[in-house]
Amino acid sequence: MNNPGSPPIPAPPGPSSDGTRRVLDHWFRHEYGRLVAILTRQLGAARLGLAEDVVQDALLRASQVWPYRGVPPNPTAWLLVTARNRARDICRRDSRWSAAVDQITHTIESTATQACEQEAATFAHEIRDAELRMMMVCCHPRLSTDGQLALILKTLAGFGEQEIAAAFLVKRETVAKRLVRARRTLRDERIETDLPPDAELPGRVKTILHALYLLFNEGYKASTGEVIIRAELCREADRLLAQLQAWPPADLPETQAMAALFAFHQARFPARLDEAGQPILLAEQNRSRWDRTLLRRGMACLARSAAGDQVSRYHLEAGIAACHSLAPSYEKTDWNRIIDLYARLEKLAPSPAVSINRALALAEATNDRAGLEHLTTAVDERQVADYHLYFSAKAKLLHGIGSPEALPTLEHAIALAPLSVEKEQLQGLRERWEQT
Amino acid sequence: MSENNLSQYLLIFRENEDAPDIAPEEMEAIFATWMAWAERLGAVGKYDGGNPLTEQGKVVRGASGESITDGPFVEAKEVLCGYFLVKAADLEEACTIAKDCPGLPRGMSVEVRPIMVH
Repeated sequence: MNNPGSPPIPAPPGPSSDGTRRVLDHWFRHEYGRLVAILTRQLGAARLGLAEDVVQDALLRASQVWPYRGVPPNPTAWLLVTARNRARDICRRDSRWSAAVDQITHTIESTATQACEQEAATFAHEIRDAELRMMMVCCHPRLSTDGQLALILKTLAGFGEQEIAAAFLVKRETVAKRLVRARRTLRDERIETDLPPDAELPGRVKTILHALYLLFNEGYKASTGEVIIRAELCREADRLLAQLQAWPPADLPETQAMAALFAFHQARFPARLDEAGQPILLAEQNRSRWDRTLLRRGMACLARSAAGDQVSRYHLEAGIAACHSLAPSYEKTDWNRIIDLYARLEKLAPSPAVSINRALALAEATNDRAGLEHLTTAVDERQVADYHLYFSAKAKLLHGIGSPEALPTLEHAIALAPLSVEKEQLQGLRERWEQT
Repeated sequence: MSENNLSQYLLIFRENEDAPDIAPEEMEAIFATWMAWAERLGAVGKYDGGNPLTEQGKVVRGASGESITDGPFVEAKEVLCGYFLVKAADLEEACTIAKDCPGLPRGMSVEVRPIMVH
């Protein structure tokens, strides 16, 4: 690959500058995911740790060598060969692997050769297959939910431990422990990268969907840090979901419903924050800034999700998101349909958040008193003692009926709000109330 | 400035031996700045090649090479980690190029040496 006759780093618009652009913008992370998936497929899930180490090493090598010699014509193959060499070295030195070294070397060798020689399309297909199997491994039912999410972010999305910790409001050491535990489970339980039998497939896909849902939610409304939207988490969840969708057995109506939900939510991102990074309420968003392409994609997925007779929570949530997306204005929203969908969601997947949203929709459709009545009867206040969104909703409804309790309730919500941007927004509301 | 008036300079990069490990999220950023630097030089025809060096190596000494040691690094705090060959009008310009080296903020040093011609 290091052809001595090749020019070092040609001037733009040479092929290498295209290569550089390709390499930037999260390419490293995605490449990390692709390569770990390929190597894990070859080495077995029990050796996930080894796969991660050698891929990390190969990327480090690339970051050291490429600036001097330019990006090679097939960067993925270059990385795969480098990772393979490293794996071979480690296997030879480590007695734990020595028995398997020939087999390991042989399998990686042939994949790396294929990567260099194969048509790009065939190789892309192989990567997709490996990533899909990796997704199955990451969401194996023997792993804890925390472990599944940490593994997805680390191995499939190439996030660092610090970033995962920031995404889930935990310490870095906690993330490290979750990863160690997850890898140990994979090893001890001898979990393989084989696709599960047909009968187990829908169950496994549901687990993956749940993990992607949590990942998307964390990005959609971050629970920590100074930024309210972590768009990169949403994009990662969306990218992995698209891979799942492309695999016919996993393309269940629920998968389509979730794709619709993700598309509707992401369509509103351009209008959700003002220039200062402050969140803008749905009622005040400039709807012309919503992404039309994503909205169309959402509608198409929602239509496809109607196949079959099962209605999942993702169907209902996507339906609600669709109502908002189709409404020409906040006032002209089909609140009655939204109330109906929330009512079904309350039965199917009850949670304080669902009841709060149903109460707010009721207030829009009828009056604040009706909303408040639903809120106080449907939500057990002991369960939401720390939940700022409950108290901010209650404060708004109390304010609507002219109750003196509105202000202290809002104060309580401000005290509970975990993000400073949310606190500021509620403080702004308090100022407006005090002026009138 | 025509090409003929340019001389070649060797930029020698040295890194502190106990430089901290790079976290994966940093790697992307560091790589991007190096790549951009090398490409900027390439774009104006001032990059003449270069190579990174691995940490392993031997030093051969003695009149007949009887002494072979594990690298010169035993006493040295800084390890040679790579070199660029660049074109510049004079030493001053070569130093200006070196000042853009993305490794500097992380403690890397750049030695600038003119290539002897005559």
